[in-house]
Amino acid sequence: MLHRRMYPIWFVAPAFIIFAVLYIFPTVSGFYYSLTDWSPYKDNIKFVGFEQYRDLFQTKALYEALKNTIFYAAIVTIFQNGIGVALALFLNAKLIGREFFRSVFFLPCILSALVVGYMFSTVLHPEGILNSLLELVGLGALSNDWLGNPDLALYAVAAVNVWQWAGSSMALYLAGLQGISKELLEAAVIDGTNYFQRLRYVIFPILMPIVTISVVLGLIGSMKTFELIYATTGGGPGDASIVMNIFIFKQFGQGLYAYGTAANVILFLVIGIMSLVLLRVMGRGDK
Amino acid sequence: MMSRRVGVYVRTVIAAIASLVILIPLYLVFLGSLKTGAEVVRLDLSLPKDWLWSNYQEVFVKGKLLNGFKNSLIVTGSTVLITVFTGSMAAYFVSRRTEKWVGILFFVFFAGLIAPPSMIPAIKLLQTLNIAGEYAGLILFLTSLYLPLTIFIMSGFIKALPREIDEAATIDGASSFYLYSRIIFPLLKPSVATITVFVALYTWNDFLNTLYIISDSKKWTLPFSVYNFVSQYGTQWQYVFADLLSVMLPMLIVYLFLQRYIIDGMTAGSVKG
Repeated sequence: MLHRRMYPIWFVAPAFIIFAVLYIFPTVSGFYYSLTDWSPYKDNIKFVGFEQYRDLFQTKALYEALKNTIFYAAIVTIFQNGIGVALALFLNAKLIGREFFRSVFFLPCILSALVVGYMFSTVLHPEGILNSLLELVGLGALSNDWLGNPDLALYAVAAVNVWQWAGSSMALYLAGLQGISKELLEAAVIDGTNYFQRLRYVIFPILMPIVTISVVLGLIGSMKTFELIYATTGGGPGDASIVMNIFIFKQFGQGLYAYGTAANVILFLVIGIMSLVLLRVMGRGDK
Repeated sequence: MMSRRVGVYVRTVIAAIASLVILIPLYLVFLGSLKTGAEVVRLDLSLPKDWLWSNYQEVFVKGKLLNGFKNSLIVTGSTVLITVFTGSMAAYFVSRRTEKWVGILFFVFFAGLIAPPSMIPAIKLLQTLNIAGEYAGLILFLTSLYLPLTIFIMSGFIKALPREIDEAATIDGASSFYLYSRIIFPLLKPSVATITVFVALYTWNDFLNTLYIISDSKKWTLPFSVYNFVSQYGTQWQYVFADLLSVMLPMLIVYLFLQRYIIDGMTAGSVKG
């Protein structure tokens, strides 16, 4: 009884009401709206069954968006974590101005995606500094319209995303590296191991749980990506770099509310299924 | 021993070169922000002929930076306050009560860490509630997005606090709210700092949600000010650059002083992805 008096229900009520009204309700009502012909131009909403989904699955842009979303999430996650681990290992070693370099690599994480997007639309411009740099080192043949070339645009934006967020992975792995005891590493040195052996048999096994969590959550998070793509290519050229959240936003802009909501439901299901699978796989890895 | 010293220098040089990847784009923005319209279109790293600090004056006025700054402060401040207040109370509740339904409730919040929000129905709801296009709508919506992480991180901290504190205080006659606000909350300071940093940064930099919810340009937050120079005059890069730098500046200053907290807060939050 004391229990209930110490922690009354109204403690959780404000948070729950905000969360239920603004997050759960739109999600649940979204399932219903996706089965209607809802648009801002109609007074009455009519139930139409799976018509929106039928339309969606006949739209090429949807497949493009789904494919790009998964691709983008995979590339960003792999490189962000790979570079993050490398930076962390490197900046965990002895060098001058270590703290300064750590802050520099982390710096882009505090910038708004809009700022980063506009900055890189000039860096990656056909006459921008990336191409000038390539020419300078004699690789002028590689210069390109990075954001305007349909074959490259998605990768270019993914690279910008990695530029911005690799530092956050670095910080995460640096925190993990601090947890490795000096004695353990010294013992390994005395045993005559070289650096790569210590990496393989001492450091990586300890970092592995962090890598797993960071990869899984990174994948899920990147599937909701929107901002950088919107600020750089807007999903273009054509639909070359379109992802689900851009696709949904475009439908919203055109007043295709039910159709856009149905696409959101698809994103919801894809992320939901992926999370369940990943969590299952992760759970097995722990045992 | 000699090779060790050499190693330190080699690593320092490599780190310096690698950090140019981060610094050069920022340097480009800085130089570009001081050039004339004719100079800036070359988009290169040449120094400006005359250092046109007046570009900043132009941007400050035409970009209505002061207004954007004020709007950003309102939205960020309120979102942080509401999220920390309601989130910490909820975290306290779900980590102390032991009933089965409370476990389910925690799981429901947890699902919010993963599931994408449904934007279009959310806008419709805000319209129904008469807060679409208003700060209140944006603030409450952002709060709903950040509550799951807040509850998740804070309940981890709260579980480490012994229950005996609660019982002793209650036996001494403390009311439940007194117990929470005067005894528990002050003990949560480190996690409050973490959440504050994370929510403040994400709200300050928010783009997607503000784009959906706020349509009136008078209510735009600071990052949106760049649109004054992209859409209105065609793209005038010297102003775009000056604007980008002005938008970055408050964050950079805060980063300079609160680096440790920011990196810790973002790292805890990045577990969210």
